Amino acid sequence: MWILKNIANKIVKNPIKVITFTIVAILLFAAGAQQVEMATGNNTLIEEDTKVYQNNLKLEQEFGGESVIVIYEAENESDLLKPNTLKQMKDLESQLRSQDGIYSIVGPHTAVQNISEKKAEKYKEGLTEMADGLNEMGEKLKEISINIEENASSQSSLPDFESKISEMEKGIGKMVEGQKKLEQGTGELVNGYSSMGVQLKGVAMKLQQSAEQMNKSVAERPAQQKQAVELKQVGLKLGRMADQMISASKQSAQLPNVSRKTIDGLQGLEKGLRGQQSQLNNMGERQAQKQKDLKELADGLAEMGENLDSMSENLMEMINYSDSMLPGIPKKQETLDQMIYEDDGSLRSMFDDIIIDGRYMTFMIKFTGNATDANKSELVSFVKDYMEENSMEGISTMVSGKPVLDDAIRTEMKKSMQKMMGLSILFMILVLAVVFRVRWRILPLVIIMIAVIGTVGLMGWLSVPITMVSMAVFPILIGLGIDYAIQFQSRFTEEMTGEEQ
Amino acid sequence: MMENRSTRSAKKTVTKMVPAILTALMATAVGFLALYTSPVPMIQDFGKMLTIGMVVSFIVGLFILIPILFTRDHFFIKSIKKNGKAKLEHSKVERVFGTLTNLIIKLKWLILFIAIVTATAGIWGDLNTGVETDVETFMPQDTQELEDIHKLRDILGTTDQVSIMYSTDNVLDEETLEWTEELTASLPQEFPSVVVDTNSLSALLKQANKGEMPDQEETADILSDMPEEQLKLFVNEERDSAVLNVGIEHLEAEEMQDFIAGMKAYISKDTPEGIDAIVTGKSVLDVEMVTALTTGRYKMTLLGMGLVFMVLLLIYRHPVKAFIPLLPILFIVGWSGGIMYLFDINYTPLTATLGALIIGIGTEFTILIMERFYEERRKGTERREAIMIANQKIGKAIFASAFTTIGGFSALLVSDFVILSNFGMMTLVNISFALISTIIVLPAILMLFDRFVQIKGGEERGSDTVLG
Repeated sequence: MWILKNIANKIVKNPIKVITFTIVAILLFAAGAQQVEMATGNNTLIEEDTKVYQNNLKLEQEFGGESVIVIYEAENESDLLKPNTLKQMKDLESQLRSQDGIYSIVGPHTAVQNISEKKAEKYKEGLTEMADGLNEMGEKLKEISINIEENASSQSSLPDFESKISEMEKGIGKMVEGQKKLEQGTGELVNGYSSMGVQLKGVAMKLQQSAEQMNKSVAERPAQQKQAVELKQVGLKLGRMADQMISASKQSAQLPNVSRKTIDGLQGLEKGLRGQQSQLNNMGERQAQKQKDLKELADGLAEMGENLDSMSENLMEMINYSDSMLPGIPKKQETLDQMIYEDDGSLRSMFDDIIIDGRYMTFMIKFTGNATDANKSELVSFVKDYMEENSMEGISTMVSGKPVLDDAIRTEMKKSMQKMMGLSILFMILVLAVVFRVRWRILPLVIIMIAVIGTVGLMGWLSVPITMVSMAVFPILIGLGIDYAIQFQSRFTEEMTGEEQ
Repeated sequence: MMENRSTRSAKKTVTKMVPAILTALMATAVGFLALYTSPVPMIQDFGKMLTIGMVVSFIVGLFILIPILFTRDHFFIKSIKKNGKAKLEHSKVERVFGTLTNLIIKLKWLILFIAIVTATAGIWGDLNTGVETDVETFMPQDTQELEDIHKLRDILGTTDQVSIMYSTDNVLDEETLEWTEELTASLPQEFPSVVVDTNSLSALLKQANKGEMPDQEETADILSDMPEEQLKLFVNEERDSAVLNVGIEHLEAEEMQDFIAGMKAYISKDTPEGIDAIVTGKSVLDVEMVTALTTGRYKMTLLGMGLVFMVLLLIYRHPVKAFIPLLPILFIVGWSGGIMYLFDINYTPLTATLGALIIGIGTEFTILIMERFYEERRKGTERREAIMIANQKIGKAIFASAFTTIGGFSALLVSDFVILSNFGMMTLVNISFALISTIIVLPAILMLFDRFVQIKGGEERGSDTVLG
């Protein structure tokens, strides 16, 4: 009781001091308002130490959280799976990569990109094999030329060309294999293909030159002339091949066909070489060749071998350093179609989950488990804006999914709450004005506003977060708190106006 | 003269009102303690916020409001005439209260009887009240995002999913893959009305292998060919943990709970040794939260009332006196449930907290009236007269604060969020009930129970009560 009397005395003696002191205290409380956090995560729904929470946490850490889904809708499938649609997706993905809280992004472009990468790998393998093949051919040619030279001086019978040439054939076989891989690996690899074409062209020219040279030097010998002609033909074939490669790179869509032709060309080359082998054998049988001729032939072959070697080196360098090998979304519809459809024209099974009913296409963005609501809101509005800015003809898009709905609920709820807080205060003023028949009847409302400020601040100091529930039912705080003020004021007024006792 | 009067008024307000309000504050705070026992953290935080808010409101009321009023009347007296006019009006209101109180006293048995019967019926009805847990029904139904998600559901067949996360030494070994495939295929058959589709590592492998399960070597090849972005949705980098996603129909919490329980049982039945499988996902979390929130409401309310009783017992040291303020609360709880049942309003996570709020709002009213009643009794006022004064004086203030609160809450009614407007409605109803219970039922209770209190309470307080 003495405490109450004490308080009463203090209030009566120094009312201004008491008010000032309390207001200062409230201001101190209010400073904590900066630290109030808005909590909306899973840990506001369920205690962190429960099994349910921990299980979900584990799941989200390992496999990501909720996902936003973008739906692309068009009249039919072919309108959806277009290079520009996929490009739009890929651009969106690369822009999203810089944002926080994203676990995975999957869409049709992911599959196409994957196919494209695999093809690039095949292509690279093919080129490497071709380089190896050229290298081998070069080596063998050089060896042959050395052998010829040795033999020319020793005058003995022709050495074992057969094995050498069959090894050369192996080299060509490797090139054929390589080309086959190139055929499978056609993508946006035009530049690489084209520069290889140029190189091959160079080799072919050299080959033709040396054949020409040979032709001249062995003019009087029909057998060797024939050989020279064949070499020339080989050179021409290579040259044609190179031309095809170059022109193919200009129209990338036809790449597979060209590769097929290249294989034919190489196989022709092989045959030619075989012919040459028999020629050489003939030469060996007759043993009628002059040393000089042989020497020239040897020189020519050696040069050719070197050319092939350097071509192989260049090719290797190209494989190692070229940016043009980077795979991407194809620019041509034909190339894309070749990637996404099976030979029988049906869509590849990997697109089953992505294309629905032939009318819808999905693009999924999965959040990490610890993505905050702010992350989610930011991403949702970013994607929506992006879709609006980059709309495509004939395709309508929709950004949806649980996080989008939750985000809408949160924002709408906040908006609604602000409106209601204002309305709530207005109603209370009206009610107080009518019902609370004392002087300064709005005072309790002012008092409760001060209390609300203090409360929010104190929540910051005590690290009590504001949640969806506390925000939704904030008027309760006002409603309950105002009671005390009204009771105090009512009693005071009663004492002031009541009869003397 | 005026100086003395304002000083005396201030002193009296402090010495008389502070104990009453402090008691109410403690009772309310303790009632909110029940909120802390909720398994849902956001409800706990809500309880903490309310407690802090109450304490701060009390402090601000005592140390700012009273000094302001005192200063006003002490130093800047405007007119006494106004007081006289106000007094006239007051007495008119007070006369109404007087007549009302007289009537109540006359009909006290009838009132108590009706209150008990209706409250019991209400509690019975409340037990049959449904629970609404679908977030999608809470929001404005014409929201674009809501329409979008319905469309999405039409397109994909499902937007909700639960996940079966399993871990073992190597999720890619033959046995585990076999089990995965088996589960992926059997779940839609086992739960045909709920499971829309299943997606897992095995489904992914089959898809890449022309519909056949690949052997170990092919599996390794397929996985190495698969885009990382896609693969990591199903299996972790260490390859010792993987997930099977089950796309399900949009379900109410209760059905969902049944389904999850059923699935847990089904999985644990034939999971081979060495595989550790758990059913989880955000849906599971949500359902857990919502059920905890809505089914725990009785426990919460009863616990709240129990705690309030304990505190009042500690303060008053008299069981009957401690029980009196709680009886009207019990009625309000019953009536509130009855209204929910009659008007077919389902419980939502928000309305589930109403029990605690009823305690909060109701105990304050009842305690204040009771305190005033005993204050008058201690002064020697006769029982009937004491009730009259208590009802007149406190009732008036209670009316004011109840109407102000109602005014504040009626803002919630216009919200386009169904969950908020329902909650606002129920709060209005409950405050009105609190008012009725306090103004009409409590006096009847006081009249009837006072005899038990007088014997002990009167002596204990050493007051000059006259035995009625």
